[in-house]
Amino acid sequence: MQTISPAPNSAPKHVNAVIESRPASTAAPHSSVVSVNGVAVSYPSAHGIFQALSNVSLDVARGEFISLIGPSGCGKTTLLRLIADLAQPTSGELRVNGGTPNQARTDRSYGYVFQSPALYPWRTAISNVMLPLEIIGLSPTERQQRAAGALAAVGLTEAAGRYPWQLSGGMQQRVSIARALSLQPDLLLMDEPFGALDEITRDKLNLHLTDLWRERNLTVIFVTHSIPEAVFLSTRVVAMSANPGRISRVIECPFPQRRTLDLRNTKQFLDVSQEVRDALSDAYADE
Amino acid sequence: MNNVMTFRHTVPGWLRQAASIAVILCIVLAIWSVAATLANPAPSDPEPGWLPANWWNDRPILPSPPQVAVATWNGLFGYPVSSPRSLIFHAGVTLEAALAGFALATIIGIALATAIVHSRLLDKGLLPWVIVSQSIPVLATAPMIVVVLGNAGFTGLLPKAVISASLAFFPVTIGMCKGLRAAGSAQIELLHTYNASGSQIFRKLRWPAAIPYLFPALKVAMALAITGAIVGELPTGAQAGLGARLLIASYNGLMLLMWATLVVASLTAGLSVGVLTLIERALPRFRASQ
Repeated sequence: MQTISPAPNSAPKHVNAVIESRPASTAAPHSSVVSVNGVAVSYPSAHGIFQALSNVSLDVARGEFISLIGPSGCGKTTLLRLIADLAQPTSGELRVNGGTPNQARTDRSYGYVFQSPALYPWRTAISNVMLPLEIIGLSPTERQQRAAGALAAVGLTEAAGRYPWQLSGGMQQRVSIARALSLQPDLLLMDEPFGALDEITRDKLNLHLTDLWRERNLTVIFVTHSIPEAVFLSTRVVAMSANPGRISRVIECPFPQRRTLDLRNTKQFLDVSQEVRDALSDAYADE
Repeated sequence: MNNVMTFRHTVPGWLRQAASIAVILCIVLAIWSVAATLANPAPSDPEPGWLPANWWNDRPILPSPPQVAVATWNGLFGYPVSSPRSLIFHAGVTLEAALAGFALATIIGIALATAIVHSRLLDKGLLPWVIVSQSIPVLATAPMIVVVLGNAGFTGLLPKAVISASLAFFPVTIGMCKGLRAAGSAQIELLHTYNASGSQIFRKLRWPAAIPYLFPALKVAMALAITGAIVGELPTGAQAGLGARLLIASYNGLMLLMWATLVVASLTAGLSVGVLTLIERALPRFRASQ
């Protein structure tokens, strides 16, 4: 992937848009998986122009786990959608794997997990996981193999033949994670995937996710409302505030890669959590 | 309370449904019987029997329930199926046109809905016409369709099928417009993240998501297709079909034949819709996520 990036990609870059013609300082071939530079998003609303994001810059290195946290309206989901090419910035520049988000999307180089599992109710669990593999045109045997592997990775081999309505909320969200993993992306974008789950299920899935992240050397960008979840999973927590949506602080989580739930009882964990809480209370004070 | 609970829990659902249908049927029959007793003059030579004598009037104004039952039975089974007096024969003729019209309506309805869902222009420009088309009485359009198609050399089945389809395409179009838009935004965006093509989005998501909307629409369409085929037989001067039968009954004041024909028309519609219900149930897997 790194070998392709600088030279051959530069040709179509000029074709694309105004954004491309900016000085390529941050787009330089360093190891950022995602780089966001001075991005703003605004759109007209009933009360004039709404600033969803203003002057947001962020670099995400390979293997990082970044959590975006903040009050509603701070633009954390918008930022994730920009990276996924599901929304477009009003100004500023984004790079994903050294190219535009659009190139990353057409290369299918990320997996996206939505807030709702968004499973197709007429498909069984395994057939839901096979959906992206059908889209990219893999052979049936290869689909079957890869989907079975992805389901095994989230511990759902048993449930392969069940329909979504036969699965609990936590299992549904695991299927949707397996579906995102089935394309074997290096980058996982997750929009509050565990927001609707109870605490115990959430803990279990957090453990699952941190293991997947470590074992597969994934880069993850994760939107959440939960401070303990963010601190437990992340290498860095990005605290955001609203009106306009912006990054207020970035907090390091200097824990070892291998994480167990015990981590949450350590002094270091509580200190970092407090730091995030302080950053957020400033953000919420703005409201 | 306790009794209600045990009734609910021990009597299977189909039996409870059958019971409620039977209750409604009894009420209708009771009202009908009273009306028949009041409406009909007594026959000149009353036959002895335990039922009111004017229930067996030869030329009734309002035929009584048993009279209609006997006439329907005779119409269905009193003659060989190939006989022009057999209502099975006529129902077959009508059903043939209705099924052709139903097939046409399904294709047109799905095609229109697909076009409307994919184009804002058609959504704004075509849908109003589809709705307006249903405010024109089919009795007015039917002769026009017969004349136009007749001049083009089409007679018999096709004009009837077209008239039938002109009624039946409407619920399919509306149902599928709703169905093809039923997919959630996350379900659609998911496919965008895979860079899926428009046709993949249609095949993998919009179409399967629309199936639960398709069958209710098809059932309404089937009933309308049969109505349309019957109406289509009226201006065509058809010799056969339930519509032709109704016309003959109406010209000759044969109220019994008229009622029997209408009963057979309802039975035909009921059976056709029933077949669709069975097909829907045979499709194994669909259940909306709760």
